[in-house]
Amino acid sequence: MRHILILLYVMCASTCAWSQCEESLKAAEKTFGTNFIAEPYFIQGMMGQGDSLSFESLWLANNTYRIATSAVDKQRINISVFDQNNNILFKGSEFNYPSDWDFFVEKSMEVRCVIRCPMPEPVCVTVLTGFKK
Amino acid sequence: MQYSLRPYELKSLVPSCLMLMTLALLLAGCSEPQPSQPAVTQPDTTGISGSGTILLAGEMVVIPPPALISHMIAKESIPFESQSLCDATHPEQWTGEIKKALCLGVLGADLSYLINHGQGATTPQYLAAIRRLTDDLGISHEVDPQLLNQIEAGLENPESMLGLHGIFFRNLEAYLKKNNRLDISTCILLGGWVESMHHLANPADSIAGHPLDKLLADQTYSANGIRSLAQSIQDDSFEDIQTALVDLCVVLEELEKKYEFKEPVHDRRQGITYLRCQSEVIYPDDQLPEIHNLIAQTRQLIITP
Repeated sequence: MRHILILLYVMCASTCAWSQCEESLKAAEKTFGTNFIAEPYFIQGMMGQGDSLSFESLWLANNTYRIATSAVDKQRINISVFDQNNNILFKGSEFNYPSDWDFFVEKSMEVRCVIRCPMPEPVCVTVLTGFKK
Repeated sequence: MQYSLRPYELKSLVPSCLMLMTLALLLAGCSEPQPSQPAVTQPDTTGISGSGTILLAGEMVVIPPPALISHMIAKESIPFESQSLCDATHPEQWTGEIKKALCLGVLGADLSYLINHGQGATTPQYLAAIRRLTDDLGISHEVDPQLLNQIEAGLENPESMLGLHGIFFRNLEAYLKKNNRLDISTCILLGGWVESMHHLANPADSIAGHPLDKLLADQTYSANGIRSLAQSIQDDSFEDIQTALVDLCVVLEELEKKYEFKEPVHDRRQGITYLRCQSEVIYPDDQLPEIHNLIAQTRQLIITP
């Protein structure tokens, strides 16, 4: 009996998380806008204080890239971008925590994007990247 | 007056508490999250590390999407080449989930190549093949049928087509992640990458100093992620392709890279940062034919039934 109840609890919690994440993807798509083409591969996860979403990307020369998050209203999501040697290229906290930002790339380079969410309660965060049409 | 519970009383309370918790959750359902709602803390995607860092399929993958590669080929004014495409007339020839997923990636990359080169007349054939493969893989129901109709109807507008193409593959990716079909997701990605490499290599086969060589050499940065992804698939039907992919990635990874950091320039008003770092991939001319051959071999293994 106890196992069934635990299973039910886990199933319900998982469904809620998924529901929240589906909404989160839609929000990120809205933030992303229509002037850019989003990459099919998106980054998503439940994030609380102290968590970070991190991914690396190859940005090709002479393109403008956009990073867009599912942050809405008062959610302060901090986007940071580093180069291959860990030099900071962009820190969202210095620009009033934008939910999206563009990057023009002169020469092809590897970047590492780190997304932090200083919200007290975990929320599902989706991050989309893409390039300008 | 103090109340205390004996161990057996405490034990009998556990199921009741769990029942109450479950009922409360069920009643709350999955309605709009309230500020006071208990937090759901488990991760919902794959590849979460102990530090909470979430990676794509457990790997830090560094690959540009096929849509961008074909977009850049078109920007270089490289004319359309029909031999850059895979034959999409008989999608039924590909059997097994791994092969179907790889070829779905290949056709997806071809579709973006066609769109970027304004080849609207050929796209319905590729869309039909893609539809067939997604049906076979049991994932077509996850794509809004309206979306496919929109793609078919939007043939005259390449930019909106590319956007729809991205949404289509993102829908598939979302479904595959949700249902933990990571091998399929990975194979779509790998197939798309190999076909993009073919798009870059094929026109340059016979021309020294071709403008696409540089773009091809830049894929050295993707090679490590691709190799890790390829090695994550344990399936007998993938063995030969895996070996070929790893060989290709090893050669790409060996290319010499130079990098120099330069302070970026921020435009707060426009919301854009200009990245001025200087980088270069150095490739001896005699290494490119080897890379071209490895790409051709890998692609052939993928598309051969």
